[in-house]
Parts: sequence; structure tokens; C-alpha cells
Amino acid sequence: MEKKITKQDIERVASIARLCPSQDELEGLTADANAILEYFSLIDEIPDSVAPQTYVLSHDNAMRPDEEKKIVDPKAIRRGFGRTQDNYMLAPKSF
Amino acid sequence: MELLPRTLSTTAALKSGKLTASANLENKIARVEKYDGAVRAFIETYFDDARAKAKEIDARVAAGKPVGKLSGLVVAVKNVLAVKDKKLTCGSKMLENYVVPYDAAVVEKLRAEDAVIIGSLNCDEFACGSDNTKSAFFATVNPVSFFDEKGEFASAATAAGSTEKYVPGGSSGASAAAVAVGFCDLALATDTGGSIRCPAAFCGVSGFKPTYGTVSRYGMADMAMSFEQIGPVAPDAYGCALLLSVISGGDFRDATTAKTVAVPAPNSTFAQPTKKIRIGIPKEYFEGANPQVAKAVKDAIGRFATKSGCELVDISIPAVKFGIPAYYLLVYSEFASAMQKYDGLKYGAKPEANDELVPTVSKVRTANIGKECKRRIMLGTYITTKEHKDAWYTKALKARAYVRKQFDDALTNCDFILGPTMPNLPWIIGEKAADPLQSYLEDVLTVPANLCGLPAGSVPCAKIGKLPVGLQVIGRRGSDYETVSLMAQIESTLVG
Repeated sequence: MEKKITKQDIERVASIARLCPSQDELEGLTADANAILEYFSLIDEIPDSVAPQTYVLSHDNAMRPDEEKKIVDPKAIRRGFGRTQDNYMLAPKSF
Repeated sequence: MELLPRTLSTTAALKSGKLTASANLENKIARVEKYDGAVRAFIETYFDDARAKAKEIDARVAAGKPVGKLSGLVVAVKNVLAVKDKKLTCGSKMLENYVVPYDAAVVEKLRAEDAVIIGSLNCDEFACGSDNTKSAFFATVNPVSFFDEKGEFASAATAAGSTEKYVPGGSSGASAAAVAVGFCDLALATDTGGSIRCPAAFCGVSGFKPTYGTVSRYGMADMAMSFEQIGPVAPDAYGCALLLSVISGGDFRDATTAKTVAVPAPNSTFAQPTKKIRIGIPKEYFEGANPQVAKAVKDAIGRFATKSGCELVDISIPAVKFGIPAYYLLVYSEFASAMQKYDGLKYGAKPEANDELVPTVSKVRTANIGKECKRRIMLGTYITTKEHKDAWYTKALKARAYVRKQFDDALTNCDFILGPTMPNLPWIIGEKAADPLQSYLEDVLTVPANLCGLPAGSVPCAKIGKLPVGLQVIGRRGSDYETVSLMAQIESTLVG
């Protein structure tokens, strides 16, 4: 395993993951992350020459028939929105 | 507790007219009303819709009109699968009040074959767990907790006061519990690292995870897209095969199934051997298991081999030990990505009005996502950052290839692999809560099939005290029919 994960590492990750854990949660997550990854470092035994595998299926491109189909009613989708304005989803400003 | 009718006898009674769809449904509703206060399997029941569907089927049968393959069978659905105009909670506060506007592909197929859908079933939050205690709403209880020595279901008062409440397994614990206690004839569940097989083993029923790419995942809230499959839970392997034949097959909305052909329905020779088979028994599946579980499974395999004349071969798959780290590291990564869509803006938990995007999204996610899910999101984010990707994510992809190679080699020399489904017996609710790693390690025997995309099922093979033990059957990719058939052969040997 690489160097121990610090609380600051977890704080940074939380910000990327859009989570804001409390100080207590940060302590717990740091301890858990270290214990878990220490055990998982078992995979260091895997020879580096093995080719990585992202997927179990080998795929050819799959083309669907070019037919127009109404799958879901847009009004029903809009009902799930947190906040709306007319027919639009209202999101807070991002910059 | 009265014996539950097995799938074949229920379908025969429904076909012959001895049992109407409405009568079958009312039997199930009566059981839900009597026992679900103790078992706590349902997130939501659809009794009114189910009664209307059953009535419509009965009218069609009475008029001599054709009906579907699941006509009158009562089916319950794990609540990560979309059922139109019903709640899709995924066991999470994040989606507590989300009503989904469409049916999952598998639910469309249930409706097309005249299943009677009775309700949605609890699960660990976003399917992250092995014991159903991680649902944000309540923990489903393994029905075996409530059976007394005579096999009778305890009274509600005794059930409420019971101190020994066992977990039903997870994450599809309520799917297995609902089948075990007779709330439904069949249930739909999902299996990302054992989430069908573990609960099937713990609740004493049959469950099957199909080959990756066999069943469309359109309308399933995904946890880790390169691993999971939707599959059946049933009282027996025949029920699994029947439901699998309905839900499998191609669907352009899930490209992994674009070229998939549906698995055939079980025929008259379904539970009979068609050729002499060679079965591999990997020593790694027994070495770390509870000795009582290992002995029970070995005894059951021995009895099956004696009766069936199949050949047993001792094999070794050393890469089994890499299964847990490879699986969890990749699940963390895929899960962190899948969870990004839960931001409170498009659907689900609604944020308080706020002028800034990042604080709004962070606040709603922090308040509504549970502890285990947060742990997985954080670790998945950590190991996929630029600095750590090679050490963890890429290495886990290599471990996946390494595990797959060894299982493929084993299945070149053998037709099937048999072993325990779970290394231990069901535990008491609350045990293993403090240490996530201990909980992960319970999946050691089920995750390899997901890493490799292999079909795998669990059949009940013994009881230790009142706790069921599951026997796992793993087949070659694409041999779904043969794998469920072998499950049925084993079942008939052990029962007969």
C-alpha cells in the first residue's frame, strides 16, 4: 500500500464527491479507508504484465432500428425536478 | 407454518382452473397482512392494482382467451427496478418520495406475461450491503427467526419480542424473505456481487444470477454497471427457470443485451441430466468457510454425485483470494460514478433553495445518502483520482482479468463448479455493523461469478439448527439453462 491516507486526503475527496462529512465522520472514514485499502493491497501480488479488463463482454457495435419511439412522457419527467420554472428545471448558478 | 406450494404445483393449479389468479393473490395478501409486520419485506404494496390484474386474468381464462406464461403468479419486485407510477426508493432517503414515470424492461415483460405484481421490496441502500440492514427505512428480518421448533410461525407478540433476529442476507434480502414466507410466488432481484445468491442461501430458497448481458437492465437503478444482473428468486429452481425465460433476451435500450437470445422456458426434461457431467470442487471454496457449512455442502455434493453418477474433480483456483479486493475497488469506482446523478435537482430529495450549485448539491447528498454508500463514493473517488488510479483502479482491472483467467481455465476442464454460496451462516441483525471489511469478506465466494460474468445460482442444501445453508452452482458463460437445470437436479436429489 502507498502512504497512509490522511484526514486531509479524505476532506479533499469529499469535496470532489460533493459530500460534506462532519469532523467525526471524517475521522471514521479515514480509519475505514486505511483499514480497507491495507487489506486490498493484496492485489499488489498480481503480476504487472496482466492486461487490465474493464468488461467481461467483447462487443461489436450494436445498432438499434432507426425508429422514433416515445418512451417516457416529458411531463412525468418534469414532475421529478427539484425546482421548476415553466417547462424547465431550475438549477442554482454554477459560476 | 403450512408448507408453501412449489412453483410447478402453483402453475399447474392455475392452469387447470383449480386455483384462480384472484384466489392465489388473496392467499398472498393474507400472508402479507399476517406476517409482514414481523418480516418487514415490503417498501410498498400494490394490492388494488394487483386485484384488478388478477380479476382481468380470471375473466380472460373464463372466456377461453389466451394468457401469458406467468398467468396468475404473484411476483414482487426489488425496489431498485422501475414500476411505473410507483415509488422507486432504492432503500435510500435520496429517493424516498420519487415516483418513477416508466417501467423497467423486466417489469414490462412481467406485465406482458400476465404476472400479478404485488409490491416493491426492501433492500440495502442502492444495493450496497450483504444483510439488508443498510436500508434507510428498516431492516428486513430473515423469516427463519420466527419459526419455532415445530416449524410454526411465532405469534406476532413473540416475533416482536424475539431477541434473535437473523439477517436475510443482502442486498436483495427482502426478495428472498418474501419468497420464503410466501408473500409471493416469485421475486425479481439484482446481483452485483452475490445480492441474489446470498439472500437465497440465508432464507432457504433458490436464486439465480444470469450470465452478464442476459437480462436488460433498462429501468434498473445501477450500482456497478459492469457487474450487475437482474435475476429470479423462487421457492425452487423451476421457478427461477420460468422467470428467467420471461425476463431474459435482447433489448436495444441495454446494449449489453443487443445480441442476447432469451433463455428457453423449462421443458419436461428440465430437471433430468442430459449427459454425464464433470464438476469441479475448488478447495478455496471450503478452506475459509465455517466448518459446519463446509461439511454440509460437501455432504450434499457427495449425495448428489452418488445418485446422479456425475464425476467430481478436486480443483484449485488460487485467484479466489483476489476476488474481494478486485471486486470492491471496481465497485467503488463504478458506484461513485453512478451516484453523481443524485444531486437533488433532477429527481429525488429536493434541496432547500440556494443560490450556489456546489453547496446545494453537497448539502442534499450529505443529508440523504447513508453511511455505507458515502464510504463507497469516497473510496471510489479516491482511487480514481489521477494520483492513485494506477495503484488501485488499474491494478484492480488487472486482478479482474487474473481471476477471470483462472475461472475460465477451471471451466474448460469442468462443466460446472460447486461449493458453498456463503462461507458462514446468517448472523444476528447488528453483528458485523461496526467493521465494513468483515461484512465485505462475507462475499468472498459470490463475487468471482460477477467479476467473470458467469451464471451462478444458489439452492438450499441443508439446515444447521434452523439456519439454511446454500449450495452454489457456477456454470460457463451462456450456459444459463444448463446451470439452472443442474440446480433443479441437485434440488430433486436432496429432496427426494
